[in-house]
Amino acid sequence: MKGEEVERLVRALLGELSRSDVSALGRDEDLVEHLGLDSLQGLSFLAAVEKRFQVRFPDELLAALRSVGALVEGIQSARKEPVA
Amino acid sequence: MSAAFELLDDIVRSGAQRFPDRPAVLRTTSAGGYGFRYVELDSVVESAAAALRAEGLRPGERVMLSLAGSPEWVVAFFAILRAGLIAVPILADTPGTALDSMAALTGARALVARKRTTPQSATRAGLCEIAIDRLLGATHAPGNAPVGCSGAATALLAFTSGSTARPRAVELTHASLLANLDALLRVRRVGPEDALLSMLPPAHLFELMAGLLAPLACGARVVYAGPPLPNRLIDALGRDRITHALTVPALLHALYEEVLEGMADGSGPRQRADLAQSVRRIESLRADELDELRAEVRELVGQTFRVLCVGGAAVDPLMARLLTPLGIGVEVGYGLSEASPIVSLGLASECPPGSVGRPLPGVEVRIDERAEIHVRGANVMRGYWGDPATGAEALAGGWLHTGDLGRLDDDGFLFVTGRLKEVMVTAAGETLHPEELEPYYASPLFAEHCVVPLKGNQGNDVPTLVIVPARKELTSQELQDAFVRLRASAPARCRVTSLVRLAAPLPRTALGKLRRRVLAEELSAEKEAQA
Repeated sequence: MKGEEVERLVRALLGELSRSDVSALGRDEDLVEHLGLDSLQGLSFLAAVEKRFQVRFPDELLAALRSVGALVEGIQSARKEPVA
Repeated sequence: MSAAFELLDDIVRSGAQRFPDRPAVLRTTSAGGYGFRYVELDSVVESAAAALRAEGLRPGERVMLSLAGSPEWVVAFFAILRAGLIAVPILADTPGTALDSMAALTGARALVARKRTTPQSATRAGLCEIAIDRLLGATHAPGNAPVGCSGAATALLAFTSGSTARPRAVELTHASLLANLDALLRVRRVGPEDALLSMLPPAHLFELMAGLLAPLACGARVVYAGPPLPNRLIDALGRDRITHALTVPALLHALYEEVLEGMADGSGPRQRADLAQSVRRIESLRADELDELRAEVRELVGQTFRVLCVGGAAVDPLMARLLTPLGIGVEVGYGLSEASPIVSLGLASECPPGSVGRPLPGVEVRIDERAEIHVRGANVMRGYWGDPATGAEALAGGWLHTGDLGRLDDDGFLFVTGRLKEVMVTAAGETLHPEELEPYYASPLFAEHCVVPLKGNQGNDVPTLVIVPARKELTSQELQDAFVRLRASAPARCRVTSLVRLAAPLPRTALGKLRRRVLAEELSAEKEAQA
């Protein structure tokens, strides 16, 4: 899957879960701040991303996955690794 | 048992003597892990305490602790106490501005964190920042200098969750926390073979008391499995042979969905099944079918897991009815930071539905004429740090005025019915609680819903249903129709007159508790601006 396709799917999922329009959201904008997510909602979102893309992010990376760009990169690099 | 402890860090000292070689705190991952045995924990706490003293920190000074739950958190916490300092645990992801105001309120001198936070923030708050690695790597000879601390000394300042008001720093002494620990251990003990999985931040007093101090006082092990993503937690249950865990309703629901999903391709309940439906299904199973289902659930959650303690907010009684037949006991309870924090506890299967158990031994509970729950006992706070007036008001007459409404039944079971400050008085002069109305307004079209009081023209409250649509394509008409149907089937006194649609999720605290007052204030302000 290409980067643009992953990004499109990440945005669709984000829009669905946050029930808001995220099309104008910058690639590096902080999601937690922009969408007003609390820590539990942030983790639920990451859990949903993992499920949708069938990946498992390394624990130490989770805290850094706070923008569309970081998520896209995280998904692409996790897809290269075997799913734990 | 804890009568043997005068100070909180005596728990670690005593553990080193009683269970030296048993694992105390562990961080685990699928790739392995690390941690400390009891004897190691005591020794690393001792050097870390010496390192804190070497920073020039003096007994009675406040040290903020901003780390995720981990063996490092445990070391830092006990080291702060052993150095005679006052611990101020805060959530690891506390934003800089909130951290600054917490530092200002508590007059904190230092901050223990993973690494240096933004330099501006630290300078602004005048805090000495101490990276946790520096404490762990400390090789200071134990100071041996007695810190002259007694049980009456303040041990920690706990920030309240702020679901109804501005966060306040609750001042708790060693003695009040140990009184709560002692009361808890009288009714619930774990053994040295038990393992508790920590899912909640230890800055939350419920987790600190029942999830850390209690297991360490009994020689059990406390396991941290990293960020609490449902799939990581479920994996850890089996992998780390977990027996107990504490959770909050929001996380419990996520775990439930995770388990359902894990079973979705087998013979288990279908994905995203409705909770009531799952309960009906389980309760209609024959013994052999139930055994089969239990075995399937055990495949996912491991063979040893047996107690889930739910705090923070009311748990759906259906959840207990679902888990008990599967061999997982659900503990319910009630507490607040101001009470160190546990007031009552009970196994859901032994309590009347909706009850939060019986008060712990030594914790007195009474209900006043307004139905407010009052608490008295050695576990009650000293006051609010830096706000003696509010503290004195909360402790008027020698009882802690909890601000929660409730009742005690004839068998001594406590029920929490709402928040005093959230009571709504309608234009007709009727008194209503949002919690008694909300159950009538659940719909598959609403992802979330709650009732909040908006200000009416005559100074009255207008109970208003706030909903977040389950799908954004739902039209206002569809939502309005669902609302009208629900209202028609609710009892007359529970009929809400207006509906507000929100696009964003409902505002909640870090642990998923609804911030009803914040929401009501925002909506009232919007309404005023439109008028």
